[in-house]
Amino acid sequence: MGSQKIQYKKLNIEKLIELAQQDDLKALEELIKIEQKNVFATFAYLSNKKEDVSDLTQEALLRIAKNIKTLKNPKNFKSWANQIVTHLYYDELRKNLRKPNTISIDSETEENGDLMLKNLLQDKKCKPNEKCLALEIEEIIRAGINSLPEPFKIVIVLRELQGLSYEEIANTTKSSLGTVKSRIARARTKLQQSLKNYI
Amino acid sequence: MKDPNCEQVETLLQFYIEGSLSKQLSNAIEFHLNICSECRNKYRQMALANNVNKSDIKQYEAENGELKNSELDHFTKNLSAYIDNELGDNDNFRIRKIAIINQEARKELQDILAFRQILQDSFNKTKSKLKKDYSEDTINNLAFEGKRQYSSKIYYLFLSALSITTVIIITLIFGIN
Repeated sequence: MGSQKIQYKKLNIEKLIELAQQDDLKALEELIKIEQKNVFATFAYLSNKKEDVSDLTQEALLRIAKNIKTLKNPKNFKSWANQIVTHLYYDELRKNLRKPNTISIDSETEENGDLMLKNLLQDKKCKPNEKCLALEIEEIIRAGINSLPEPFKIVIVLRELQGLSYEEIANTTKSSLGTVKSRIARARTKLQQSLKNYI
Repeated sequence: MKDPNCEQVETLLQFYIEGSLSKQLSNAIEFHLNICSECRNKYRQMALANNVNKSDIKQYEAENGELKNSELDHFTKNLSAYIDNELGDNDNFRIRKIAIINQEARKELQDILAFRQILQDSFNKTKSKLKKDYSEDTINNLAFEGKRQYSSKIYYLFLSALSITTVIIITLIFGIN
Protein backbone atom coordinates (compact mmCIF):
# COMPACT_ATOMS: atom_id res chain seq x y z
CA MET A 1 0.00 0.00 0.00
CA GLY A 2 2.75 2.38 1.07
CA SER A 3 4.85 1.78 -1.99
CA GLN A 4 1.79 2.29 -4.17
CA LYS A 5 1.18 5.68 -2.61
CA ILE A 6 4.72 6.78 -3.37
CA GLN A 7 4.23 5.77 -6.97
CA TYR A 8 1.18 8.01 -7.32
CA LYS A 9 3.09 10.90 -5.83
CA LYS A 10 5.76 10.41 -8.46
CA LEU A 11 3.36 10.56 -11.39
CA ASN A 12 2.98 13.75 -13.34
CA ILE A 13 -0.36 15.49 -13.50
CA GLU A 14 -1.23 14.29 -16.99
CA LYS A 15 -0.67 10.67 -16.07
CA LEU A 16 -2.75 11.14 -12.92
CA ILE A 17 -5.60 12.58 -15.00
CA GLU A 18 -5.39 9.67 -17.42
CA LEU A 19 -5.63 7.16 -14.57
CA ALA A 20 -8.39 9.13 -12.83
CA GLN A 21 -10.40 9.02 -16.04
CA GLN A 22 -10.12 5.23 -15.89
CA ASP A 23 -11.80 5.23 -12.47
CA ASP A 24 -8.57 5.04 -10.49
CA LEU A 25 -9.65 6.75 -7.26
CA LYS A 26 -6.14 6.84 -5.81
CA ALA A 27 -4.97 8.82 -8.81
CA LEU A 28 -7.97 11.11 -8.50
CA GLU A 29 -7.22 11.69 -4.84
CA GLU A 30 -3.63 12.59 -5.65
CA LEU A 31 -4.79 14.93 -8.39
CA ILE A 32 -7.11 16.72 -5.95
CA LYS A 33 -4.23 16.98 -3.49
CA ILE A 34 -2.18 18.79 -6.09
CA GLU A 35 -4.97 21.03 -7.33
CA GLN A 36 -6.54 22.00 -4.00
CA LYS A 37 -3.98 24.70 -3.22
CA ASN A 38 -4.74 26.46 -6.48
CA VAL A 39 -8.48 26.28 -5.99
CA PHE A 40 -8.26 27.41 -2.39
CA ALA A 41 -6.06 30.40 -3.25
CA THR A 42 -8.34 31.39 -6.13
CA PHE A 43 -11.38 31.56 -3.89
CA ALA A 44 -9.39 33.23 -1.14
CA TYR A 45 -8.90 36.19 -3.49
CA LEU A 46 -12.24 36.07 -5.28
CA SER A 47 -14.69 35.51 -2.47
CA ASN A 48 -16.05 38.52 -0.62
CA LYS A 49 -16.58 36.48 2.49
CA LYS A 50 -13.70 34.63 4.07
CA GLU A 51 -16.01 32.07 5.63
CA ASP A 52 -17.19 30.92 2.18
CA VAL A 53 -13.74 30.01 0.91
CA SER A 54 -13.62 26.52 2.37
CA ASP A 55 -17.08 25.50 1.16
CA LEU A 56 -16.42 26.85 -2.32
CA THR A 57 -13.09 25.03 -2.48
CA GLN A 58 -14.71 21.76 -1.47
CA GLU A 59 -17.52 22.16 -3.97
CA ALA A 60 -15.18 23.07 -6.84
CA LEU A 61 -12.93 20.10 -6.12
CA LEU A 62 -15.94 17.80 -6.05
CA ARG A 63 -17.09 19.14 -9.41
CA ILE A 64 -13.59 18.60 -10.81
CA ALA A 65 -13.54 15.02 -9.49
CA LYS A 66 -17.05 14.30 -10.72
CA ASN A 67 -16.45 15.60 -14.22
CA ILE A 68 -12.89 14.49 -14.80
CA LYS A 69 -14.02 12.12 -17.55
CA THR A 70 -15.38 15.00 -19.59
CA LEU A 71 -11.92 16.51 -19.93
CA LYS A 72 -10.79 15.53 -23.40
CA ASN A 73 -7.16 16.51 -23.38
CA PRO A 74 -5.23 16.24 -20.08
CA LYS A 75 -2.99 19.07 -21.30
CA ASN A 76 -5.95 21.45 -20.93
CA PHE A 77 -6.54 20.54 -17.30
CA LYS A 78 -5.58 23.92 -15.89
CA SER A 79 -7.88 25.89 -18.12
CA TRP A 80 -10.66 23.31 -17.75
CA ALA A 81 -10.43 23.28 -13.94
CA ASN A 82 -10.47 27.06 -13.89
CA GLN A 83 -13.61 27.04 -15.97
CA ILE A 84 -15.28 24.96 -13.26
CA VAL A 85 -13.98 27.30 -10.56
CA THR A 86 -15.15 30.38 -12.46
CA HIS A 87 -18.60 28.94 -13.12
CA LEU A 88 -19.01 28.06 -9.48
CA TYR A 89 -17.94 31.55 -8.52
CA TYR A 90 -20.45 33.11 -10.93
CA ASP A 91 -23.18 30.81 -9.56
CA GLU A 92 -22.34 31.99 -6.07
CA LEU A 93 -22.45 35.63 -7.14
CA ARG A 94 -25.88 35.12 -8.64
CA LYS A 95 -27.08 33.46 -5.46
CA ASN A 96 -25.77 36.32 -3.34
CA LEU A 97 -27.43 38.83 -5.64
CA ARG A 98 -30.79 37.37 -4.82
CA LYS A 99 -30.13 37.65 -1.10
CA PRO A 100 -30.59 41.09 0.40
CA ASN A 101 -27.94 42.72 2.63
CA THR A 102 -25.06 41.55 0.53
CA ILE A 103 -22.78 43.77 -1.41
CA SER A 104 -23.80 43.89 -5.04
CA ILE A 105 -21.43 42.96 -7.82
CA ASP A 106 -22.34 45.85 -10.10
CA SER A 107 -20.18 48.75 -10.93
CA GLU A 108 -21.30 50.39 -7.72
CA THR A 109 -19.05 47.98 -5.84
CA GLU A 110 -16.15 50.01 -7.02
CA GLU A 111 -17.04 52.47 -4.31
CA ASN A 112 -18.03 49.80 -1.84
CA GLY A 113 -14.84 47.94 -2.48
CA ASP A 114 -12.68 51.00 -2.07
CA LEU A 115 -14.50 51.69 1.13
CA MET A 116 -13.86 48.16 2.31
CA LEU A 117 -10.18 48.51 1.59
CA LYS A 118 -9.99 51.86 3.31
CA ASN A 119 -11.83 50.53 6.34
CA LEU A 120 -9.52 47.58 6.58
CA LEU A 121 -6.47 49.78 6.38
CA GLN A 122 -7.88 52.27 8.86
CA ASP A 123 -8.89 49.54 11.28
CA LYS A 124 -5.36 48.33 11.37
CA LYS A 125 -4.12 51.90 11.72
CA CYS A 126 -2.16 51.86 8.51
CA LYS A 127 -1.11 55.19 7.20
CA PRO A 128 -0.31 55.93 3.61
CA ASN A 129 3.36 56.12 2.71
CA GLU A 130 4.27 53.92 5.61
CA LYS A 131 4.84 50.25 5.44
CA CYS A 132 1.85 48.75 7.06
CA LEU A 133 3.27 46.50 9.72
CA ALA A 134 0.04 45.61 11.44
CA LEU A 135 -1.21 43.96 8.27
CA GLU A 136 0.43 41.31 6.21
CA ILE A 137 0.99 42.32 2.62
CA GLU A 138 -1.03 39.31 1.64
CA GLU A 139 -4.07 40.68 3.46
CA ILE A 140 -3.70 44.07 1.81
CA ILE A 141 -3.44 42.49 -1.63
CA ARG A 142 -6.49 40.41 -0.88
CA ALA A 143 -8.49 43.45 0.14
CA GLY A 144 -7.21 45.27 -2.94
CA ILE A 145 -8.25 42.53 -5.33
CA ASN A 146 -11.54 42.18 -3.54
CA SER A 147 -12.21 45.86 -3.98
CA LEU A 148 -11.90 45.58 -7.77
CA PRO A 149 -15.13 45.59 -9.77
CA GLU A 150 -16.22 42.12 -10.76
CA PRO A 151 -14.91 41.72 -14.34
CA PHE A 152 -11.46 43.00 -13.33
CA LYS A 153 -11.20 40.78 -10.29
CA ILE A 154 -11.68 37.53 -12.15
CA VAL A 155 -9.26 38.32 -14.99
CA ILE A 156 -6.43 39.39 -12.72
CA VAL A 157 -6.79 36.25 -10.60
CA LEU A 158 -6.93 33.96 -13.63
CA ARG A 159 -3.91 35.68 -15.13
CA GLU A 160 -1.60 36.24 -12.17
CA LEU A 161 -2.57 33.42 -9.87
CA GLN A 162 -3.45 30.73 -12.36
CA GLY A 163 -1.18 31.85 -15.16
CA LEU A 164 -3.78 31.36 -17.88
CA SER A 165 -3.13 32.84 -21.31
CA TYR A 166 -5.35 35.65 -22.62
CA GLU A 167 -7.03 33.20 -24.96
CA GLU A 168 -7.83 30.79 -22.14
CA ILE A 169 -9.18 33.64 -20.02
CA ALA A 170 -11.34 34.81 -22.92
CA ASN A 171 -12.80 31.31 -23.22
CA THR A 172 -13.35 30.98 -19.50
CA THR A 173 -15.03 34.34 -19.04
CA LYS A 174 -16.79 34.19 -22.41
CA SER A 175 -15.39 37.50 -23.58
CA SER A 176 -13.23 38.65 -26.48
CA LEU A 177 -9.44 38.71 -26.52
CA GLY A 178 -9.43 42.51 -26.72
CA THR A 179 -11.71 42.77 -23.71
CA VAL A 180 -9.46 40.47 -21.69
CA LYS A 181 -6.39 42.47 -22.66
CA SER A 182 -7.86 45.81 -21.65
CA ARG A 183 -9.42 44.43 -18.47
CA ILE A 184 -6.14 42.99 -17.27
CA ALA A 185 -4.37 46.25 -18.01
CA ARG A 186 -6.99 48.26 -16.15
CA ALA A 187 -7.09 45.80 -13.25
CA ARG A 188 -3.33 46.18 -12.85
CA THR A 189 -3.47 49.95 -12.95
CA LYS A 190 -6.33 50.11 -10.47
CA LEU A 191 -4.65 47.71 -8.07
CA GLN A 192 -1.32 49.46 -8.33
CA GLN A 193 -2.95 52.80 -7.64
CA SER A 194 -5.04 51.68 -4.70
CA LEU A 195 -2.18 49.83 -3.03
CA LYS A 196 0.81 51.97 -3.87
CA ASN A 197 0.73 53.86 -0.60
CA TYR A 198 0.56 50.79 1.53
CA ILE A 199 3.06 48.34 0.14
CA MET B 1 40.10 25.06 -24.74
CA LYS B 2 36.87 23.17 -24.15
CA ASP B 3 34.04 24.19 -26.44
CA PRO B 4 31.39 26.20 -24.56
CA ASN B 5 27.88 24.74 -24.29
CA CYS B 6 24.65 26.57 -25.19
CA GLU B 7 24.11 27.89 -21.70
CA GLN B 8 27.59 29.36 -21.50
CA VAL B 9 27.28 30.86 -24.95
CA GLU B 10 24.01 32.51 -23.99
CA THR B 11 25.57 34.08 -20.93
CA LEU B 12 28.47 35.43 -22.97
CA LEU B 13 26.45 36.63 -25.99
CA GLN B 14 26.01 40.20 -24.79
CA PHE B 15 29.76 40.57 -24.24
CA TYR B 16 30.44 38.91 -27.58
CA ILE B 17 28.24 41.47 -29.32
CA GLU B 18 29.95 44.30 -27.48
CA GLY B 19 33.30 42.86 -28.50
CA SER B 20 34.61 42.74 -24.98
CA LEU B 21 35.70 39.09 -24.95
CA SER B 22 39.18 37.72 -25.41
CA LYS B 23 40.06 36.64 -28.93
CA GLN B 24 40.11 33.01 -27.91
CA LEU B 25 36.68 33.12 -26.25
CA SER B 26 35.25 35.16 -29.09
CA ASN B 27 36.43 32.55 -31.59
CA ALA B 28 34.96 29.75 -29.52
CA ILE B 29 31.59 31.49 -29.53
CA GLU B 30 31.75 32.20 -33.21
CA PHE B 31 32.43 28.54 -33.80
CA HIS B 32 29.46 27.55 -31.66
CA LEU B 33 27.16 30.00 -33.44
CA ASN B 34 28.13 28.43 -36.74
CA ILE B 35 26.99 25.00 -35.64
CA CYS B 36 24.06 25.76 -33.32
CA SER B 37 20.95 27.27 -34.91
CA GLU B 38 19.19 27.89 -31.59
CA CYS B 39 22.00 30.06 -30.26
CA ARG B 40 22.35 31.70 -33.64
CA ASN B 41 18.71 32.83 -33.42
CA LYS B 42 19.26 34.21 -29.95
CA TYR B 43 22.33 36.00 -31.19
CA ARG B 44 20.40 37.60 -34.04
CA GLN B 45 17.66 38.81 -31.73
CA MET B 46 20.13 40.21 -29.28
CA ALA B 47 22.14 41.87 -31.99
CA LEU B 48 18.94 43.44 -33.26
CA ALA B 49 18.06 44.79 -29.82
CA ASN B 50 21.57 46.17 -29.51
CA ASN B 51 21.18 47.85 -32.81
CA VAL B 52 18.08 49.54 -31.48
CA ASN B 53 20.12 50.55 -28.49
CA LYS B 54 22.62 52.47 -30.47
CA SER B 55 21.76 53.62 -33.95
CA ASP B 56 17.99 53.76 -33.65
CA ILE B 57 17.99 55.73 -30.44
CA LYS B 58 20.34 58.30 -31.88
CA GLN B 59 18.21 58.59 -34.97
CA TYR B 60 15.08 58.79 -32.90
CA GLU B 61 16.41 61.49 -30.67
CA ALA B 62 17.70 63.47 -33.62
CA GLU B 63 14.38 63.31 -35.39
CA ASN B 64 12.00 63.86 -32.55
CA GLY B 65 13.85 65.38 -29.70
CA GLU B 66 11.42 63.55 -27.55
CA LEU B 67 9.06 60.65 -27.92
CA LYS B 68 5.98 60.91 -30.02
CA ASN B 69 2.82 60.89 -27.95
CA SER B 70 1.38 58.10 -30.03
CA GLU B 71 4.36 55.91 -29.14
CA LEU B 72 3.92 56.63 -25.44
CA ASP B 73 0.20 55.87 -25.75
CA HIS B 74 1.03 52.59 -27.40
CA PHE B 75 3.44 51.85 -24.58
CA THR B 76 0.96 52.55 -21.78
CA LYS B 77 -1.80 50.66 -23.53
CA ASN B 78 0.26 47.58 -24.24
CA LEU B 79 2.62 47.38 -21.30
CA SER B 80 0.42 44.95 -19.39
CA ALA B 81 0.11 42.60 -22.37
CA TYR B 82 3.85 42.97 -22.94
CA ILE B 83 4.76 41.59 -19.52
CA ASP B 84 2.30 38.75 -20.11
CA ASN B 85 4.09 37.92 -23.33
CA GLU B 86 0.86 38.36 -25.29
CA LEU B 87 2.07 40.77 -27.97
CA GLY B 88 3.34 40.11 -31.46
CA ASP B 89 6.99 40.62 -32.41
CA ASN B 90 6.38 44.07 -33.81
CA ASP B 91 4.62 45.41 -30.72
CA ASN B 92 7.19 43.79 -28.42
CA PHE B 93 9.88 45.58 -30.33
CA ARG B 94 8.14 48.95 -30.00
CA ILE B 95 7.68 48.52 -26.26
CA ARG B 96 11.30 47.51 -25.73
CA LYS B 97 12.50 50.43 -27.79
CA ILE B 98 10.57 52.95 -25.72
CA ALA B 99 11.64 51.36 -22.46
CA ILE B 100 15.22 51.87 -23.57
CA ILE B 101 14.78 55.44 -24.76
CA ASN B 102 12.44 56.90 -22.19
CA GLN B 103 13.28 56.95 -18.53
CA GLU B 104 9.70 57.33 -17.35
CA ALA B 105 8.57 54.45 -19.50
CA ARG B 106 11.41 52.37 -18.10
CA LYS B 107 10.27 53.18 -14.59
CA GLU B 108 6.73 52.20 -15.48
CA LEU B 109 7.96 48.86 -16.75
CA GLN B 110 10.03 48.28 -13.62
CA ASP B 111 7.09 49.21 -11.40
CA ILE B 112 4.67 46.89 -13.09
CA LEU B 113 7.16 44.03 -12.90
CA ALA B 114 7.84 44.72 -9.23
CA PHE B 115 4.13 44.85 -8.56
CA ARG B 116 3.63 41.54 -10.28
CA GLN B 117 6.31 40.05 -8.06
CA ILE B 118 4.46 41.26 -4.96
CA LEU B 119 1.25 39.67 -6.26
CA GLN B 120 3.01 36.40 -6.99
CA ASP B 121 4.57 36.31 -3.52
CA SER B 122 1.21 37.00 -1.99
CA PHE B 123 -0.45 34.22 -4.00
CA ASN B 124 2.24 31.73 -3.11
CA LYS B 125 1.90 32.61 0.53
CA THR B 126 -1.85 32.02 0.42
CA LYS B 127 -1.32 28.68 -1.31
CA SER B 128 1.13 27.57 1.34
CA LYS B 129 -1.35 28.50 4.05
CA LEU B 130 -3.79 25.79 3.10
CA LYS B 131 -3.71 23.35 6.00
CA LYS B 132 -6.81 21.32 5.27
CA ASP B 133 -6.63 18.35 2.94
CA TYR B 134 -9.79 18.17 0.86
CA SER B 135 -8.81 15.12 -1.17
CA GLU B 136 -10.24 12.44 1.11
CA ASP B 137 -13.52 14.30 1.62
CA THR B 138 -13.81 14.81 -2.12
CA ILE B 139 -13.40 11.12 -2.87
CA ASN B 140 -15.83 10.20 -0.08
CA ASN B 141 -18.41 12.68 -1.34
CA LEU B 142 -17.97 11.31 -4.81
CA ALA B 143 -18.56 7.76 -3.60
CA PHE B 144 -21.54 8.95 -1.58
CA GLU B 145 -23.07 10.68 -4.60
CA GLY B 146 -22.42 7.60 -6.69
CA LYS B 147 -24.21 5.42 -4.13
CA ARG B 148 -27.07 7.87 -3.94
CA GLN B 149 -27.43 7.78 -7.68
CA TYR B 150 -27.28 4.00 -7.59
CA SER B 151 -29.92 3.71 -4.86
CA SER B 152 -32.16 6.21 -6.59
CA LYS B 153 -31.85 4.12 -9.75
CA ILE B 154 -32.93 1.03 -7.82
CA TYR B 155 -35.73 3.05 -6.27
CA TYR B 156 -37.04 4.13 -9.68
CA LEU B 157 -36.68 0.59 -11.02
CA PHE B 158 -38.71 -0.65 -8.06
CA LEU B 159 -41.36 2.03 -8.57
CA SER B 160 -41.75 1.25 -12.26
CA ALA B 161 -41.91 -2.50 -11.56
CA LEU B 162 -44.60 -1.80 -8.96
CA SER B 163 -46.66 0.34 -11.32
CA ILE B 164 -46.40 -2.23 -14.12
CA THR B 165 -47.54 -4.97 -11.73
CA THR B 166 -50.46 -2.80 -10.60
CA VAL B 167 -51.50 -2.18 -14.19
CA ILE B 168 -51.31 -5.92 -14.96
CA ILE B 169 -53.34 -6.81 -11.86
CA ILE B 170 -56.00 -4.21 -12.68
CA THR B 171 -56.25 -5.42 -16.28
CA LEU B 172 -56.51 -9.00 -15.08
CA ILE B 173 -59.30 -8.14 -12.61
CA PHE B 174 -61.25 -6.13 -15.16
CA GLY B 175 -60.50 -8.75 -17.82
CA ILE B 176 -61.98 -11.53 -15.67
CA ASN B 177 -65.02 -9.39 -14.86
